[in-house]
Amino acid sequence: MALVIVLGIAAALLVMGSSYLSTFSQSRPVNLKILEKVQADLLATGLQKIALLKFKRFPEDFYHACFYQFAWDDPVKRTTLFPYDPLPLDVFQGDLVLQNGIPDLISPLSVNMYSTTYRLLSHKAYTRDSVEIVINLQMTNTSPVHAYSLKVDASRIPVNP
Amino acid sequence: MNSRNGTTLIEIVMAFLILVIAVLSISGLISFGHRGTQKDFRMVQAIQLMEDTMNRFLVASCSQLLAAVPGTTPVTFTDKLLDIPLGPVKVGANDFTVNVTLARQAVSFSTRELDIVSSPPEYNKNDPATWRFSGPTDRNGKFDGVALPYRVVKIHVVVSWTELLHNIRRQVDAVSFAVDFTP
Repeated sequence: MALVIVLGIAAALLVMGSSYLSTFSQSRPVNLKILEKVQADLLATGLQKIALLKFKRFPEDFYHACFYQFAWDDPVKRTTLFPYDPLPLDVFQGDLVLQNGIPDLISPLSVNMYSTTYRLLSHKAYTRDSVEIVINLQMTNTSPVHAYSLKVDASRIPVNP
Repeated sequence: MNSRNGTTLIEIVMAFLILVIAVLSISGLISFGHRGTQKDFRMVQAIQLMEDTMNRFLVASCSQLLAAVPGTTPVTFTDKLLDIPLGPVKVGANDFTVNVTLARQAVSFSTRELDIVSSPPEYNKNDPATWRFSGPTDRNGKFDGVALPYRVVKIHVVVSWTELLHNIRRQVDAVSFAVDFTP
């Protein structure tokens, strides 16, 4: 009888121990996921700044590219446009640095993919723009794609009025 | 021969032995789990330290960061830089080492510029149908230290520590960019 009781207790302890071990073994992958998310957040912040540098450098080209794109997206207006390939907006947001085209840019880290998109949210022609810069970033091919949005309200003031 | 119901000494000894083996196994398991929890805790601390250090660099003056890297070769800093603590850092009871590597990063931007010269005579700034663009060019967008000064600094933060039990060196790292927006 004593053996039966002890074997029962030992079995119960074994079940408790294995469930404890299983809980513990799941915490390490969670930590790695946290690390991956922090790395993605910090990298996206830097990439948004680079994208913002381009907008600050070429606000007029962005403005023209967007308006051309609006007309291009309208099937009626498109017929009157010169068919550029690639379109001005695709050129504007197609730089290698904005589209994961430079292998060493983020080494020693690696990402599966990232892309940059510019959107004109509102505007007052040539004087004020509200721009959204969106970075889509995926660290590994099994990770979710994280989207990071940066909205900028930009006023244009002539340097030499 | 008399037969009595009850527990023999052999049964008690066997039961005791099984109980001891089970308890020892479980205590070993709990100890292993505790060590693992401490290890994970150190990693979380390291991630927080790395994030904090990177955020400090991202809000620092980029022109000062550019000045800290005079050439094109990446420079690794192991001592305090711009009041940001680097080198040995103690968090709670755990010791970490924080290093940062800064490098000037060349970037090149291309656009299609509006080409008013080759636009038709009826050019109207409000009508895209009258617009003509140039071919893709990076003429005014090469921040490579030659055409235009560097504006981007690549920041690589590494936080490392030693796992005392197995004397294994571990590290976490992150990469980001600081940009000089001054006109």
